[in-house]
Formats: sequence, structure tokens, C-alpha cells
Amino acid sequence: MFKAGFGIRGFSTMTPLMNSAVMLTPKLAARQFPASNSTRSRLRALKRKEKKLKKQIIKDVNTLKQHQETNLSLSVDPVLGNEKCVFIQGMRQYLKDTTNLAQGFTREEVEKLLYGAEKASLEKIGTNNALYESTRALEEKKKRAVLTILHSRNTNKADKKTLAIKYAKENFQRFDGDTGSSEVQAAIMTAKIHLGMDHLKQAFKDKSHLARLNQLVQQRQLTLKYLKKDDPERYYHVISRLGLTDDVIMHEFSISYQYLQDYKVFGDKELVKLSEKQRKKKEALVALSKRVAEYNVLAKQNYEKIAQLSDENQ
Amino acid sequence: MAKQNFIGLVVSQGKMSKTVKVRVQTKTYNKKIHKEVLKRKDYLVHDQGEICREGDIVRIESIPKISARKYFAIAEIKVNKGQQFARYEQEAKERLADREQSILQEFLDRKDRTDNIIVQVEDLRKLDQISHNFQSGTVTPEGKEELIAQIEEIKAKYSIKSWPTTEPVLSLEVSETEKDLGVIENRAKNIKIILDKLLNEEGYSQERTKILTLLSKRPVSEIPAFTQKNLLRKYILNPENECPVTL
Repeated sequence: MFKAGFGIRGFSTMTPLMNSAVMLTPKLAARQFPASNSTRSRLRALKRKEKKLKKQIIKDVNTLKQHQETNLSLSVDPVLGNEKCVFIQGMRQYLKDTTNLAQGFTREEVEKLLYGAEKASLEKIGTNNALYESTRALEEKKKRAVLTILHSRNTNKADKKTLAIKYAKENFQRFDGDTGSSEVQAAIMTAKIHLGMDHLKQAFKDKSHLARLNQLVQQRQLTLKYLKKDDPERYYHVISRLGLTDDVIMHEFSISYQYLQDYKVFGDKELVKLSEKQRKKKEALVALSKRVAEYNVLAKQNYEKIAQLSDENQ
Repeated sequence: MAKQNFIGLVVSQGKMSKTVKVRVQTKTYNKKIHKEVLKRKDYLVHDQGEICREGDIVRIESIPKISARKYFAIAEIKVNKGQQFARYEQEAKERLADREQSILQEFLDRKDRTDNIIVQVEDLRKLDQISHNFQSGTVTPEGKEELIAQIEEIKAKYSIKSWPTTEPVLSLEVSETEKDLGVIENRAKNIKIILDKLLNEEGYSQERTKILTLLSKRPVSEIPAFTQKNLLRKYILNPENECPVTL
């Protein structure tokens, strides 16, 4: 069956490989390359081996595929969404921004007001040279003190949350002063969720906070589901801007310990203990995926080898 | 005999080539409870062009069996909601790219505005210092011309006519709202007279129709008198709008 002079032939394919284009599939990992001087019995043994291997490979690949298809993972983090979301990055920048001061003040207005105050106190002293310089210095000192007190670095969390909500409203409102449309609601909830997750990372024992966060995530799902029914075009636009995807909204979800472990909210901490049976099952799956990866590597090597041999023959 | 056909919902697409899964819902009579109950069955359906998307409502028609589980084909797409959604999703991605640019621009603009105000306040403060030096008489005759040049430069930059001035040089948010409040109070006080003139006097008919067409979708002749009055009142009490009646 195998004739070196005639052309390279695999056991499995009855047509010469030179003529037919070989597809790169995991099945190729089973291919055997007997030496030209091998005996008839050796050839038969190798043929049997190839057949057996091929069967195993097909079985493994299909099992893994089926597992992956039934256990579809969500495309993004269902709580935080896409990491590269521009809205969230913008919000973080807005909170850090020095043009925003605490308690709803802006840098512009404070500068103007303090200038007015300085003018007023200077007018009061008139053209007194001795007092002029000292008054100016005092006003300068006051200004620095006010700007330090109102600096975004020195605000509390509630203040930051108010700012974040303001940012969300400004970005998603349909018209000026819109506070209730679905997209504004969803954006505000997203902002709250992101700030809440920051807190949760530091205080992992705050269980009531975790529960509130869970409520928020589900409320956001509900609002967005309504928007999908009401105005699908707007819905897709909003979720893409919030860094979410359709499957995240439509799947049943709640913040569980499994979620916290999978997305490494508290680092590599083990939060869900598996039973002996579950552990074995998981190990088997890991071994399977490792095996399939090996098949792929071997198949690629064999593919290159076949190409090389066919080149030599030509 | 007509071919067997059903109407169903596409529940799965893109996993098998040229095949979709269609869910068909039918009513069957349950003998035990003597009642009609809903029954669902999923069919694998042939989709030659691969045009169906998840969420489409389709009509499927029986065909000769082409594989173990495939004996139906898509006959027509009744509601192409799934295809619409897929299109919206694609469009949203494209629109997002434009939006990112504008967000960055907004951020930079805001920063610029604040920086400009800080520079302006500093300049005004400098102007104060110079004018104080002049008044106190500590300036030498040589330094005088240089200082005058500086003053003129700052004045030209912010178009200030004289210094010290009685006009406001910086516009405050507080003063803006104060001005608005004054306008609203004045109009609210005279609202009866304004509305009376607008509604009844011949000279204001053109302005009246202009405002009403802006605020209402209906033609002006169909709007009842009391609605007209309400719309006009709302328009006048907004300080951003100009009052057509001079008081």
C-alpha cells in the first residue's frame, strides 16, 4: 500500500497527498510517517495506530466543543462591562479633574468669586499703602485655603457619587434637564455600580453593600430590557456606550460568590469550594483542553512535514 | 396536498452552517386536564442563504429529508426583528467611534476654559497692582512708559475701556441667574396684560402664530383658546425667550 517511489500516501487518505490540498485539522495529529524500509507488519501496526488515534482525537475535539457550546461564557463582565469603555474612563477622569471642586463648585466660579472678594476688601481700605500689601497677602492665603478645602482630593465619597451622577446625566440625556429616561437611569446605575465595586474591593466583608450592588445590577438589566422592547436602536447604542453587550443584559445574572471568584474581584481568593466529584470533573476538563491544544500543535508540525515531503517529491 | 408548514421563532443561528433552530408553538388538547395546553417543539431548519438571525419570526415548510434531523426549510421571513437588531448593533459600534472623539474634545475644552479664566483673573489682579502703584506715586518716570504699555496690552486683550471700571468684567453664574429671575418676576407681574395683548390685539397675530406653531404640532386654527393661552404663558415665562410685547 505504501510505496515510497509513487508518492506520499497517508493510511487514511487513499488519494495521493500531492494532488489534494491537505486541510490543517486536529485530525492530522494522528498521521504516522513510517520509514521507507519498514516491514509489512510494522506498516500494518502503524496503520492501526493511526486509525485508533484519529478516532480518539475526533472524540476529544467534539467533547470539548460541545462543552464550550453548552457552557457559553458571557462576552464581557456582567457587572463592570468592557474595561475599555470610554464612558467609564471619562467618568473616572471627570472625578479626578481639578476643574471640579467639592460640593458642586467649579474652579472657574470660585476663582471669579474670590477675585471679587479681594476687590471688595481692597476697596474698604482705600489708598492706604501700609495695609495694601498685607491685605493682598491675606486674601491670597484665604484663596489657597479655600482651594485646598474644596479640592477633589479632599472630598468624601458621597460628593464624588453626586459628581458621577451629574456626569452620567449630562452624557446620556435626551434633552437638557432629562433625568428620567431609560438611558439616563441605566447610566446612573452604571456609575453607581462602578463606584460601589471600588468600595467592595476594599471592604469585602460589607455584605449589605454587596446585596445593594446586586440589586442595582438587576435593576439596570430590567431598565435596559424595557428599553430594548421600547426602542431597540437606542438600546444598542446605549449598551455599546456603557460597555455592555446584549447577552449580558438578557441572561439571568446575580452577583454570586462564583462571579466574585471567576472575575477575581478579591484577587485569587477561593470563595467557592468544590466537592470531590466536581473537582474531578473540572480536572478532567482541564486535561481534555490541554490534550486538544497538544493535538493542534502536533497537527501543525505534521502539516508542515507533509508539505515539505511533497515538495521534495516534486 | 399542501406542504406542512409552521410559523416559529429563530432561537439559534450561526452554530451550524446553513442551519437554524426554529421554535414552533402549538396548542394541544390535554385529555387528563381537559384543557388546551401550549406545546413547543424545536426544529432544525435549512437556511440556504444564511440570512436568518436570532429573533426572526419565520414560516417553515416541509421538504424531503436532507439529514438526520433536517426536514424543513425557511419559506419566508415574516418579521425580521433579529436582522434589525443585528444591524442596530453594527451601527452602534460605528457611532461609538465618533462619540469617543467628541468626549475627548469636550474634556479638553472644559480644561481650556478654566485655564483661560485663571489667566484672566491673574491679569486683572496685575492691573490692580499697577494702578495702585500709579496712585501711590511709587513709580519712577523711566518705569512709567513700560507700565502704561502693560496696561494697554491687558486692556486690549479683554476689551476693557477704562480701569478701574464700574462695568462687570467677569460674568458670574450667580449674576446670570439673578438677571433671569428679574426678567421672570417682571413678566409674571404683567402676565395678564401681555397675554391679553398677544391674544386679542391685531398687531400681534403674526407673532402669536409663530410661537404657537413652534410649540404645538396642531395647526393654529385647531388649538382651543385656553390651550393657546397656556402655551403662550409657558413661552413668555421662559427667560431664554424674548417677550414680543414691550411693556
